[in-house]
Amino acid sequence: MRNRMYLLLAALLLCSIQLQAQTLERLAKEEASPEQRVNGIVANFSSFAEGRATTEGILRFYFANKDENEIGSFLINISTGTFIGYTLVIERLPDNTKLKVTIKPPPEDAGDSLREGIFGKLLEVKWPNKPNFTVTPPASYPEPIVINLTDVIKIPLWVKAGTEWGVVGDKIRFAIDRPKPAREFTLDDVALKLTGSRLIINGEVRSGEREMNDIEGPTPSFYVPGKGLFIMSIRPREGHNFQKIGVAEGNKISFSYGSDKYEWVGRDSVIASGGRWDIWVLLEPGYQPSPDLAEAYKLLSKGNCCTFSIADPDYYKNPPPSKK
Amino acid sequence: MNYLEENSPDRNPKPADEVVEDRELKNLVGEWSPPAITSSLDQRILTSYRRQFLHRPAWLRWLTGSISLPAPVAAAAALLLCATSYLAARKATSYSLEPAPAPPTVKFVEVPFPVVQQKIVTRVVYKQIGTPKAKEGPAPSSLPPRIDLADFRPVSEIKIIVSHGGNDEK
Repeated sequence: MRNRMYLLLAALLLCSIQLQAQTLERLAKEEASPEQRVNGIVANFSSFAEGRATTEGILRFYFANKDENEIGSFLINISTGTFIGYTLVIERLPDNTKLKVTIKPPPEDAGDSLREGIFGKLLEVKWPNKPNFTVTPPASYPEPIVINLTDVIKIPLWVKAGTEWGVVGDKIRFAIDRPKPAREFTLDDVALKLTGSRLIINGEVRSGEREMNDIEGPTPSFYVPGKGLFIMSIRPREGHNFQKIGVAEGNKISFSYGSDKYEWVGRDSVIASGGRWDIWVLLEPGYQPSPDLAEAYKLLSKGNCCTFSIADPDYYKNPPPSKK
Repeated sequence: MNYLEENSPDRNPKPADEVVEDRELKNLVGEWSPPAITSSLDQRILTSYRRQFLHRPAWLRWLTGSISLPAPVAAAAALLLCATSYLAARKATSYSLEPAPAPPTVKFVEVPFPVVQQKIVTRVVYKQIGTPKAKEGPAPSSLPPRIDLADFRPVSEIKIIVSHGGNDEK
């Protein structure tokens, strides 16, 4: 189950194509939110550097596992490609002004999970000469501590000894999470889910020898070189040329476009409630994935032709801005 | 002795009587001795004097004191005071518009210097202000070493530093 937390990372990092956030740097900057919510607490992560150090040289990824009330923090040293991770556990106490904070090592198989996912492949693309990427767990961890809600904690993570001493780490603030106000349920709240999927074009598996990472959201998409980006939706979207040409049934979405037939097949039901439903499809012919992402997907599954992601649902919620 | 009787106006002494009475008075005065003065009387008088004169505060004595000054000396002092005041006011007006010359100073100027991979490296240039242009030399060619994290290693032991209102403690 803890492995799942790190699998979440790969899914979270691939949820936007509109921002073109498809390099490690941009993924870290735009997709890994510094605000993570668990157990009714908002933990706000930032960086600190002391001595001869800079916070610019570290890529940071944070992700919450709400089932376990844990937040994973994962940091990559751009200069060396080494990375370090830890798990932050936040527990609330009877005294609402206090928190119990525990720092734990990342799961033992975290390195494998990352290595085998698209995120690990992005690492390989960026540092092709590095034989492997392993999470470096520090030798010892502190005992759990009780802090005030208003306290700020610093966790030094990277250090350089000697005359040019420096240290870089995480700085974390805490606050009570405000519950989101209730809102009306919409079709956008229906997620289309492709778990461990394969892409079949004209009866031929084009996603290579391995299953793809899990993708779940209102607008899952895949890119086919020479064709463009196919975006799927359970409803039409004003101002965007979605066409009702697809069907979701069981664990498969299928549609035909031009003379080609596309089948996107997962392990589980695409729509949780089951059934057979119309699917609206939009082709964005001008879309190009970043070279890093395209290369990473080739590394992920030998023989894979395509990339897989979730198109930005906010962008497709409204008509596109008029072009000047 | 009845004083009223002795000094009554209807009694007119004769010259012979006066001599006799004068002699008697002198004898009486010679025999009279004044009452002894007690030591406390001296003490009371001394205390009263000190209270009135010696124990007044210095500032009160200074404020209420006075000195006598001859009229020519006072007039000369007043004249001298007026003349010096006029000269001082005139001099202050003439100097107020002249700025003091600034000595050459060294100012640090940070110049953002973009390099590859969207990093910003800060170069520090030393710029002298106030030196003639002819003396300006070429810009320093040596850059400070770039700060990257190539030599940084993960910590061997994770510690939590708790900060209460900006004050760090472990």
